[in-house]
Order: sequence, then C-alpha cells, then structure tokens
Amino acid sequence: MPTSCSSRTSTALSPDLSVRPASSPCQTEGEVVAIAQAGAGIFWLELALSLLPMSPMAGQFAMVGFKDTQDPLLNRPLSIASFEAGSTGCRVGFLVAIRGKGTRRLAEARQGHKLRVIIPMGQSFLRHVGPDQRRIIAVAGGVGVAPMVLLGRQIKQVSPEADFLLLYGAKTKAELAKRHLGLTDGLYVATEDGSEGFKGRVTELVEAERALLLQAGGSAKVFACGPLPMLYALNKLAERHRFDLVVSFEGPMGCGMGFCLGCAMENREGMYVKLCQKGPVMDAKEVDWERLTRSDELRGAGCDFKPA
Amino acid sequence: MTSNRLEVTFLGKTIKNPIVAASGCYGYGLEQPELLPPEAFGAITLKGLSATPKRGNPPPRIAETPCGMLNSIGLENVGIEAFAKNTWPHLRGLGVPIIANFFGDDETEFQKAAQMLSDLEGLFAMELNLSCPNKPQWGRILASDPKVASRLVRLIKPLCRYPLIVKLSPNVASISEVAKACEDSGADALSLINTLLGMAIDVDAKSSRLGTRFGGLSGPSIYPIALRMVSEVSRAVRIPIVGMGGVSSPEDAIGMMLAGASLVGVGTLLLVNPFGVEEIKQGMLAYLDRHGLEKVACLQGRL
Ligand SMILES: Cc1cc2nc3c(=O)[nH]c(=O)nc-3n(C[C@H](O)[C@H](O)[C@H](O)COP(=O)(O)OP(=O)(O)OC[C@H]3O[C@@H](n4cnc5c(N)ncnc54)[C@H](O)[C@@H]3O)c2cc1C
Ligand SMILES: Cc1cc2nc3c(=O)[nH]c(=O)nc-3n(C[C@H](O)[C@H](O)[C@H](O)COP(=O)(O)O)c2cc1C
Ligand code: FES
Repeated sequence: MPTSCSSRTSTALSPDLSVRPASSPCQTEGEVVAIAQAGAGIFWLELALSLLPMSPMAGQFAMVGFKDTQDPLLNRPLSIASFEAGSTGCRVGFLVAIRGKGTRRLAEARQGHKLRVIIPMGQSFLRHVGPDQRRIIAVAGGVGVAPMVLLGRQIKQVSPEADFLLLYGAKTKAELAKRHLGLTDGLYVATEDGSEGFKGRVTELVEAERALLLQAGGSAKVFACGPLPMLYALNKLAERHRFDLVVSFEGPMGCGMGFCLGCAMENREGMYVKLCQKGPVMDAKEVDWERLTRSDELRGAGCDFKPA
Repeated sequence: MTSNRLEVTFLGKTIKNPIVAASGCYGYGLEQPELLPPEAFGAITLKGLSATPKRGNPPPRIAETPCGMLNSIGLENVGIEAFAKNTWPHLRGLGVPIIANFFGDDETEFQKAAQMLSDLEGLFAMELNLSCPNKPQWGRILASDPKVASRLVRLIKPLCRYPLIVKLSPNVASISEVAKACEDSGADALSLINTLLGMAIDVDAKSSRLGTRFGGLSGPSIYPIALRMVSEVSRAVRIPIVGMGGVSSPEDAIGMMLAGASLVGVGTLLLVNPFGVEEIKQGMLAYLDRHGLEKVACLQGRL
C-alpha cells in the first residue's frame, strides 16, 4: 500500500464526503498503468500513484506534468475521472482530449512512464449537493464529461436518495467516450451530426428534455462542464427556466496551487478570483457571464465565441 | 534531515539554507502549507505589495514558451493594509525570515509603501521592485536607467526600517551600471534577475497569447542569462546578491552561488515542481560531500 503523504490525511480509504474539500494536495509520482484510445482525439489515462493523497471529490482536478523534460514546462490541469485506493495501491484515471503540445505528449506516454502529479486540487461539485437532493442532472460537452464520471460514482454516497442523469454531447458518435462512463441507465446522448442519440447540441437536448428538471419536484440541480460557449448557453437556459446551475471551468492555469495568480477570473462583483482555488466548480450565479464571454477571458477554454 | 551545512549569512543574519522563494511564485506564503511548507525555505519573498490594492492585468496572464513561460500578472495584490491585517499575523509566527517585495505606480506610492511596510513588526527585509515589466504606466522599467534607479533608492532608503534589497531588471544595457548606482545610493543588497520582456503570438487568432501585448519571461530558458548577470554584478559591487532566474536543479543553484550569489531565488520552479526545493537542498548536500566541502557558504563567488 502506498504511504500517505499528508499528516492530516486520514488513513481511511473511503472518502469522507461530508466535509468540504479542504483540499491539501500532495505531490507524487504517477506511473502510467493504462493508456487507451477512448474516442476520436480522446484517450483514457490511468496512473498508479506512489503516495496516497486525500480522496479526491468529483470536480476536483490534478496537475499532471513531465518529469523528464522542461518542454512542456508547466503541469496541465486534468479533471479526476476515477480514483481507487486499496491494499494494492492507488489509481487515478483521466479522460484527456488532445489539444496541443502537452496533451499530445501525454497521449504518447507508454506503460511504466512516470509523470509528476499534484492531487487533489480545487473545489468539488459535491459541496453543492444537499443531503435530500432528489435529482442531479449532469450536462457534459466533449471531454467535459471527465469529472461527471467520478460524480456519477460518488453522488450516492452524499445523497442516497438522489438519482443521477447524464446529458452528454459531442460533435460526432466517434468522439463519445462512452465506454468509460460506467453508466448503464440515465444516459442521454446528443451528437451535432445526429450520428448517435439526439441530433443537435447538448444544450438543445437539455431544452428538449426539460421535463427531467420538473419531475423531481423542481429540486433538480444541473452540474455542467464543457466548452465556454456551452456553459454560456446553459446559463441562459438556467435563467429562463429557473433551475440551479453549477459549472466547472477549464480555463488556463499556471500552477493550480494558488501561487501565481495566473488563473484570474472576474466574478459578479468585478473582482478577480483564483479559478484554481475558488473553482473550477462555481455556482453560475457567481459568474459574470457577459464580461466573461465579451472580454474573451478564458480564451484557452476553447472560446472562439463572440456573443452577438 | 536537518543540517547546518546549508547555513549562510545574509545581511547579518544566519539563514538556515540559501533557497529563497522568489516574489510572485509563492503567493503570500500561506497558500499550500502542506504541499510546500514555508519552513522549507531559508527565506520567503512575498508577492509584490503596494500601498493600495491593485487589480492586475486582464487574462490570459500566462503563456507557456519553450522551457519557460511568459506572465502578465501585472502585480495584482491586496494592498499592504489588508495584508497587514489578514495575512501578516499568520506569517509572522512561522519563524521563517520574510522579505516584503513592494512597488508603487509613482514616487509617492513607492514612499507610502516603504513607510507602511516599515510599520510592520518582524520583517526580515524589504525588496524594492524596480524591475517589473508589466506596468506600462511607468512608461519604462525603472531599473533600466541608473539615474532613475539611483534617485528612487535614495528616496526610499531613509524610509526603510529593514534592510533594503533592490531587485534589478535584465532588460537593460548594462546591469552592472545600475547595480553600482543602487549600491552607491544606499541599497543593502541586490536581487536579480526579474523577468525578461517577451512576447508570444497566437498565429491563428492573430493576437497576443496574453491579455497584454508583452509579458515577462521566466523559467529554465533564462538561466544562462541570469547566471551571466549575477556573475557580472558580483564583480561590480560589494553588497550581497540574491541570484535568481530559471533555477531548477541543485546544479543550477550551486552555479548561482559560484557566480557570486549569497542566496538563490526560485520562482517558476515552485509553480511546476514544489518538491524541487527539497531536491535542491539534498543535491547541495551531496555536492558538498562529493567535493569535500564543509558548508555551502564555501561556494560563494568562487568564479
Ligand atoms: C480544472 C481543469 C480541468 C480540466 N480537465 C480536463 C480533462 O479532464 N481532460 C482534458 O482533456 N482537458 C482538461 N482540461 C483542459 C486541459 O488542461 C488543456 O486542454 C491542456 O492544458 C492543454 O494543454 P496542451 O499542452 O495540450 O495545449 P497547449 O499547447 O497549452 O494549447 C493548445 C491549444 O489548447 C488551448 N488550450 C490551452 N489551455 C486550455 C484549456 N485549459 N482548456 C482548453 N483549451 C486549452 C490553447 O488555447 C491552444 O489553442 C482541464 C482544464 C482545467 C483548468
Ligand atoms: C507568475 C510570476 C509572478 C511574479 N511576480 C513578481 C512580483 O510581484 N514582484 C517581483 O519583483 N517579481 C515577480 N516575478 C519575478 C520572479 O520573482 C523572478 O524574478 C523571475 O521569475 C525569475 O526567476 P524564475 O525563472 O526562477 O522564475 C514574478 C514571476 C512570475 C513567474
Ligand atoms: S493557477 Fe496559479 S494561482 Fe491559480
């Protein structure tokens, strides 16, 4: 069993989900134990950690980087999609979309390759789940599905009464990473070309399946992760149909640890907050959506989107 | 493992190891007490502070470059008043020497900041940032002109209750000239280098990859320049030097000391590999053993 890296980490392996994520991350080494294509341009990466971190909660992320090169230099933020700790060790899984230098190099990693891992970081979705929550609707665009995989597994522990639905959109059927979702029911798929499921964007699917929100006596919450234009459109829907929306941003980060102020994002009060510590999961009401998209902030999050 | 073989003396004080957190790369020292405890460092330099809070620059603020990164944070900070009230009480008790990095948008603000920091109890030193490339309102980097630098140091020094370290910019014609001017004007020590002014373009978007046009380059790619400048300055002045710029391994840190630094600053390394601090300290001890040296202080300025 790997040794625990933090004096404050309890040795219990089951996550204590009642506490807020007082994330005290640890730095460790992650050895690639599995790497496989999960969809077009997306791969599944599983690492065996040499230290036992605090149990991550859905929505939290890890900073993953290369020990054997300084180019790329910075660690890349990746949402934690799975986490298992047991007597034989501790494994963490990621779904990664190939975007640039860093993710391309990650995709070329082979079994046995050792990576730098700092884990777990940031705020989780779970603190937005009430104990009597009846329904959670996760909305994911593309690789934004990664944190929802862990969410689907953990939700029952926080709120045994809640049912969990996943509305998952991608451009085409080939880009869906369905094999790694671990869901048998409650999955609604949208593809833009109609090659699988609903034809259209996932936000259009949300609109079409609005009844899902009402069935739970109006107490359903929507948790979302995906490209900024998707989150923006979803927030419009939340305002129109008055549902609670919690979003996770994938904005660019420097350190992920709160040191550099490189992840600044403006909140409703016009103040910069550190996305790596205040987020990546935030209540949609805390976000200044108009400014966010107008000023092209979070451009790194794939936002080539200019609201009219 | 603790050992006093890493002890060095700096500005009359015994520092338990020569590794210093560089300004802006370790926040206010309290962000990650477990991942990278403040006690790991010989001293900690805080993120730049000013008399009034500053907003900083619009995002994106970071762009990675080959073996380095550009930043355009723009000295966002909470202001000295909020810092004194909310952060300083927690930092003070740690027993790690704290260096407060500070700046102003004009001369009056510089003076105000120096006064406010002098009112704090228990600082180790103050670091005057004359070298941030991210403040276009100055029209230039202050430390690029020996006369401007000298004038500011003369103005600030009498207001400082703690030793004054002046942080120099590499974006100059002759760094030793500026260094000499600062020494002659009363600086107690120098730190160098700050970031190099650079640029990155997103060719598809046909725009800067930062929210500003230019940013400051740091990380391994600037190490050879930093090393040359520390070496040059160490021959030009008698006051001690905090050497920094791209240090990421024990060898880099040892090189900095051989070039003339008394303390070694690490910045970008902390953003990437917090363990690096421990690796450097262990690597230094191993080096001392290999070379039959008693103390790391023996390395200073051998070159
Ligand atoms: C909290 C958080 C969680 C994330 N979780 C995941 C995840 O589970 N799976 C996953 O595949 N990705 C995730 N991302 C995005 C991922 O970090 C980036 O795609 C990655 O850093 C890009 O690195 P690169 O070297 O491949 O690309 P770079 O060479 O850095 O950039 C290449 C292109 O990607 C764009 N880009 C840069 N940063 C980002 C970003 N943060 N998001 C989107 N595009 C970016 C750039 O604008 C550029 O066009 C997450 C980001 C955050 C902040
Ligand atoms: C994100 C970031 C923020 C910084 N903020 C400051 C600052 O507030 N004041 C300052 O004097 N230097 C600042 N610096 C410069 C560093 O202290 C250091 O001089 C420079 O980065 C070179 O060292 P490095 O290559 O080890 O990072 C900053 C650097 C970075 C990367
Ligand atoms: S990414 Fe460095 S402070 Fe958030």
